Amino acid sequence: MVETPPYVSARLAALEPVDAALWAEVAGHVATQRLRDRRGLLIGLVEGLALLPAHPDLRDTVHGSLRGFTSRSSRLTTAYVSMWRSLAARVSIDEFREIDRLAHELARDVDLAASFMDYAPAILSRRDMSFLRVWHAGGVELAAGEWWASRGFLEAVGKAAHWLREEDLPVLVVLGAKVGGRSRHAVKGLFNALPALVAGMRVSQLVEWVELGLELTRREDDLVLYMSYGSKRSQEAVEALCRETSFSAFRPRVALLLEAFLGRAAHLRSMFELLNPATVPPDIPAFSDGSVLYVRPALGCVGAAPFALYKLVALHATAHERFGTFDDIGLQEALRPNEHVLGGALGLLDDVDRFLLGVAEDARIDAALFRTLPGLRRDAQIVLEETYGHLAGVALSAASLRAHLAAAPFEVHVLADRSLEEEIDQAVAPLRREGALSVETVQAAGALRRILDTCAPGGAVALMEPTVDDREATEVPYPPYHDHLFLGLELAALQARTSDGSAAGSILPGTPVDVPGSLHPSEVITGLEIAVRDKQQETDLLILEDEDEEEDGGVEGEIFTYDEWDTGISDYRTRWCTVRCRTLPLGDPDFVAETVERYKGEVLLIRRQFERLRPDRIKRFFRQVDGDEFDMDALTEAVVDRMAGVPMNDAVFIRRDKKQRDVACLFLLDMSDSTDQLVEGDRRVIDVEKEGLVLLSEALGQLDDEYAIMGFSSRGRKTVDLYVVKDFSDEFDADVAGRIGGIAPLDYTRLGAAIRHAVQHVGTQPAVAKLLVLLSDGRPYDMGYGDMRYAMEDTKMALSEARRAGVSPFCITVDPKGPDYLEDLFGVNGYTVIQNVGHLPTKLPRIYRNLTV
Amino acid sequence: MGPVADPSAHADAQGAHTYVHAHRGEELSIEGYRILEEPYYCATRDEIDLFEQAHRLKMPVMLKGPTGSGKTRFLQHMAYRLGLPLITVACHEDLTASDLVGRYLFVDNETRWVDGPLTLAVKHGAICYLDELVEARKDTTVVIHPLGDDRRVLPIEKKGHIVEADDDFMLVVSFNPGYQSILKDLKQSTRQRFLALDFVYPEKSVEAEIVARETDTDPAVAVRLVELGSMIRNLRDHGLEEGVSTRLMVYAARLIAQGVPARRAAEVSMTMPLTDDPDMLATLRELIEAVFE
Repeated sequence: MVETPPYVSARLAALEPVDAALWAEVAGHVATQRLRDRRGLLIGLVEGLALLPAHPDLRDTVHGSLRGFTSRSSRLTTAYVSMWRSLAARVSIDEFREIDRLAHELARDVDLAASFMDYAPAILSRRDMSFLRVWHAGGVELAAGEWWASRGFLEAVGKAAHWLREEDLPVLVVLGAKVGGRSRHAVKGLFNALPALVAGMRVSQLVEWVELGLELTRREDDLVLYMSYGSKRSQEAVEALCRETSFSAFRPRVALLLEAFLGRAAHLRSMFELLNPATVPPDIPAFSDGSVLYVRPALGCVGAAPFALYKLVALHATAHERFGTFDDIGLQEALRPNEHVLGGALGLLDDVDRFLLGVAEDARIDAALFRTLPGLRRDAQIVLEETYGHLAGVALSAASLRAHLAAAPFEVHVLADRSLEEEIDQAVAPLRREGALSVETVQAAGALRRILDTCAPGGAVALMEPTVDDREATEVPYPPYHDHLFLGLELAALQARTSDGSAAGSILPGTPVDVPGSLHPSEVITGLEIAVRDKQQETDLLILEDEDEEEDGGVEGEIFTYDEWDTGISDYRTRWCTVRCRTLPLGDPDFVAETVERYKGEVLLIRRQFERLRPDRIKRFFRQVDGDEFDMDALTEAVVDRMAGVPMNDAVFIRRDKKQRDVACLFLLDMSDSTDQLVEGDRRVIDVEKEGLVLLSEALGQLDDEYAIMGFSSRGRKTVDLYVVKDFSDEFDADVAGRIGGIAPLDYTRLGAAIRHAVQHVGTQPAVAKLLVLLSDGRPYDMGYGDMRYAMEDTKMALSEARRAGVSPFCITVDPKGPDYLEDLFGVNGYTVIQNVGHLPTKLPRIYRNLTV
Repeated sequence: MGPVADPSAHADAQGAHTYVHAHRGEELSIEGYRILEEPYYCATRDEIDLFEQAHRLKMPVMLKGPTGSGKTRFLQHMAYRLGLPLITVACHEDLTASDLVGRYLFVDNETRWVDGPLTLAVKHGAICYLDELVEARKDTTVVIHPLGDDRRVLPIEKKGHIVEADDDFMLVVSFNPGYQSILKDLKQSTRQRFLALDFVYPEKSVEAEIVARETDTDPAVAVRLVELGSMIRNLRDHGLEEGVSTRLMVYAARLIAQGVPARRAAEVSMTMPLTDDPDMLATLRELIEAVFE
């Protein structure tokens, strides 16, 4: 006997007899089968059949297909019913018949036909019938060869239709065939990753990327990994191919904007550092876990300039922080899936409720963001028109509701039923006022839920249990700059649990991150191993055990010992560090000359600028007791004074003398191995710093300031090496040039000892103003140098000692995380961060000038 | 004679006096330094109260803060409030002790002593304001030391006598701690004679009100300018240590009130003056474009 849930019975009674009979037939057939969601199928079926009276011409078609498909597989039935329900009101009779026929063509293979039917509505909502035909043809063509290629193609294009044009499809077919010919798993991975890929690049670039992968990889494993967008190489290849539009091109600018907007240093990373790219739905541009913002490294938006979209994405995501989304604990709890019932008022929340909370909160954030930064409206307008402009007008659903709220303020209309707009706008009006708090979000979400329930097709009034069709989300694109709030919150929660030690729920390799409430087709997003390893690596690195080597006696140079401050015992460890100071061996003799040549223009500029700063060699000192000429002002005053009876002042001369600037500066360069990192093209951090030193020397050569350049590197406390590149008394000659050329990355950074020695060295200078400028790329860190705090405290103490000795320290860093620790060490005016490392060489002279003016 | 406020100079709408060179040999009447109209000042914290206390207790005050943060305006307001004349001296490297204390002049075939601004203030019970004290040479600065402790006297060596400060006399100096230059700083012996009042840029809504009132512009425009200013200040770590002053925002607002397009007004008053670094200028342009349509 077929079980008939009561609410279904009510609907059944309303069906035409012939339809009801069909329902019973299908129900009977599936009763005997093992089904994942029998109830869902039956509910969907009754709803689908309920539509037939409105489309009587299609009854035969629908009945025939249902019977045919059901006899083959209930999977086909489910897919067909869903497709029918989506398309019934949207396509013409002929069109539907054609689609039906196309489905049958593929029906030899259940999965292929099911994939076709699953995504046909999405294809039609984002593109058109012509696109659909070409899509179908592609699937058929691939099916002749490799089945996986066909299935992958159908689904991938279904998910990514928004980013593809009709002419792209045959190209993808060729790609699929090619890769499929090499490896079945590779083509599966390729199409899995396709939505993520085409979300960020043109198909022509995709072809290049695939070709590159086929060329670079020999073994199948590597190929699979590459095509799945999982290997580092494949990700780097994407970045390289999309250089102008990729994340790394815009990151410095976006980071600065965020810092200005938020008032704290922005941490901006690629989301693929954390998540497996192939599993992230292409609609998600970014998410924030409250401290780090993860952005898709290649955002595609055909019309607007890529930077405009990055700006919007980043600012919207951080707007959550600025306008208080994370302050309201109640809201956060409600947004995350948990077992607790939220304080009675909201009752039990289901996925739809949570989704609407997110929608309402985003509406509030959008309003606040565009109110504060109205200049962004123009960019938003372009982006929204690009995304939704072609939509003919869709029915109200959870996804289209979100789209409407985002687009309507910009006069882009998404909903077919315009009369609903007023009701919806009224529901969210309180959120759009200035000063709206997240508390009001909850109320608005409730109002939206009521609208959705009463107006959406198959509304919850009819069904006791709301079901939401995943397909809806693919039909109406996610607003391109809305970050995925749930994902961010979920990750923040997972990480919080990991760091406080509770093993359950830690982010293990491949842990799926479950984000209910997102209503996204792929709700489960697979995490990457990196998420765990990152933290681990960091903690491991922080405490390197001292290898307790004996001093290397064979090295020449002077030996010094210095104390080290141990914050744990609040005292110095006396004579703890051994510093060996020697001259750096000569390296590449041409480096300096080549650099000067490369920066010809800059060098000229520097020479001019610093020449102006140069005291005119001769400076006139007024009111002197001795000199070459009379100071008329002083003389006049003195004479008048004498006439008044006051003893005459004898300081009435002008003396000419050199030395107006009395500055001695020691540049201390961190030569640790972290400077070996590539920064721009094939230049490493150390190369950029060396160039900076060359330009600096040009500048200082104009000034007559005394300066020295030293590099340092350490390997444990007994091996702190200081290398003299140029001493105060040295002229800038070929030897010095050679030594600059010889600077290379070495080991670690025992900053405390290096500073103490440098201070000692510059302390011997007679100049009145003594400067110690540290060129750094990161935190102090060495073997046996304790944990982060120990190293910081020792460095801090060394800097205090410097100040007491009359040496003023200053730090120039290329580490974007600099502000986190440098303010504590050097003081708020004691350091500067160079955001764009490649610009360091040209900035160094400028910074020095400002320091000593 | 150094630059001193001229009573006959035109006082602009805000009640500030312009700087003009004094007429030859004339001692300016102290009355010329009184402030006649209340200058607008919006308190950020308890500075008004503290200043009044300091005056009552005869303590000198140092106004610390970045440029354009309201130090001078505050002082004008307090001078008006306390009913005291205000004598301002702009300090520079060539400022001598005589410039402050006074000198003998030779006029009409005889020598005549003319009091300097500091002496004038000491004698008549006015506020003497040494603006940007750190610019003056250290051997000039020490002249104020005896006034800055409980002695409150000013020795005039050339005349051979000592002037005791009037009860109402007050010494005020300004200092901008934001300079990174290591070559200029105040000695501790100077610093430790003063109470210091810290001037920071006001909270956003307050600053917007100030900008709107100073310029009579649309409050919405003022709010946007303040938002832009606050974002620029957040970029402190990247070479814009002083951020942007309230004064520059006022300039921008005035231009906008005259019909200059907002983006251009913001560019010429709030970004181009701050830096020449092309990267930073590009970022600042982005900020302007985000704030103004």
